[in-house]
Amino acid sequence: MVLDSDTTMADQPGAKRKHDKHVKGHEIAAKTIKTPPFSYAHLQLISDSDNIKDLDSLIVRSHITAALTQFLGVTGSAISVDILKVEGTECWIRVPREDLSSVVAALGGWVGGKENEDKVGWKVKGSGNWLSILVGERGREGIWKE
Amino acid sequence: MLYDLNVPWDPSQSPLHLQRTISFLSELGYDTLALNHTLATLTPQIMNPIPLVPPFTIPKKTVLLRRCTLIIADPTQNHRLPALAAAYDIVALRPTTEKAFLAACLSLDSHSLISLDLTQRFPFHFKPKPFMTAINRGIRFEICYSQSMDVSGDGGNARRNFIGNVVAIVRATRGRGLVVSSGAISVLGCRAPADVLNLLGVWGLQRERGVESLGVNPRGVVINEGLRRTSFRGVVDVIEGGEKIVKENGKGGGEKEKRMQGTPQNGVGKKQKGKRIAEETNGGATPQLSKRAAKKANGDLTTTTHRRYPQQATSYTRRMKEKIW
Repeated sequence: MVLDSDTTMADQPGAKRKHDKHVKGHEIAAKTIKTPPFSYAHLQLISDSDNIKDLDSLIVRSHITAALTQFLGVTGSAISVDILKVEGTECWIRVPREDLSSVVAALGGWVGGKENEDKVGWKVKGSGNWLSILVGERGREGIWKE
Repeated sequence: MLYDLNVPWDPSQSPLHLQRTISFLSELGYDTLALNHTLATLTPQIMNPIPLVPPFTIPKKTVLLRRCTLIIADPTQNHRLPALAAAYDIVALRPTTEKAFLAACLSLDSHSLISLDLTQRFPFHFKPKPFMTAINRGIRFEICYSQSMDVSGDGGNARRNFIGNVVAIVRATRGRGLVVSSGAISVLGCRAPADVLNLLGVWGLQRERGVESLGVNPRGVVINEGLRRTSFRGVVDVIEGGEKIVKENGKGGGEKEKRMQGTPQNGVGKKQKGKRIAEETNGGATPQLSKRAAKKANGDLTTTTHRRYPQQATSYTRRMKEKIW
């Protein structure tokens, strides 16, 4: 691609020079976000049994509410959790930044499932302020496993 | 001085019930209460159904104001807010959609309280920007603490939604610009100020901000609404009281006397228009001294101004002019 553009430029040297005259300097603006409004977490549902059914949003919602209620009561269940994506047994959620530590603690320490059924629990695969980093970390786990 | 700006009032309410609520709130320490009439639709003729004088006795130090909360969903409709503002002492808005909420925060003008129904789940997140813009404009956000004890109905969702919304509002505003009121339909919903502060402290409202939201902020709302109704753009305030009847202007004095007797014995007396009755000029023989100048000439010191709200100080220049310290 780069070679192509070079040759086209070379064909029209006059156009390139004209283009140079009108190119202005770029303004650099810097912004620091100290307190992002939301934090994100990457969760996986683990279970005693061998086969877990694939998750859907409703199951995720009910498990998360149960975990928060068990740990923090009504205030915990009042924490606004947005479910961003559900894939297989994993899911991504978004919570307000100030609630991240409470949510991660609640999810990590929860064991659910009825008496005669298999127990389930949440494994927190990652959490942080930036979603892009979380998503990028997915690949990191696979590097050392094989 | 503590304020409770939301004591729900209903035409079908039993007056005895309301009296009990008012006297209990007064015992807990709230001096100024506002009876709140919630309106969803407007009648063609806007009238204030809350009686000026309550049909029962209220504790002596209690001041009752009349407030209305208008539920709006569509800001483009004409809600005749100025007419509403003329009929009630305080006007609050209850937006139910994001569009209405943004309009109430940024553009609409006749209200000074935004009272969201915190037991509902809102389809939008509470961002700091519209909240702080509204607060800088002078609009305050109301939190009714009795809704947190609403265990009835809706499967306990009311409490959960209330807590989530309160936490979000406190975070978006950092605790500033809030007004806390009871919203109590019966005595069971009323709590003492210390209890209210503790409760809201659990959900993130710092103690100092909580104290402000019980005293300073509602006082600001009450005074601003009063100023809006009795003065021209907050600059010219109509003074009354302390006027002696001048013997020269017999006719004008008679009129003034009548006006003073006609003053309703309302605790705050905000409802009067307070415009001076136009004086009829006398024969033309006597020089046209203004009444004020005439009184001053008589050596009458009662021409000092009485502010309607005693906490407000008179301006420095005025004090210099009248030599009061």
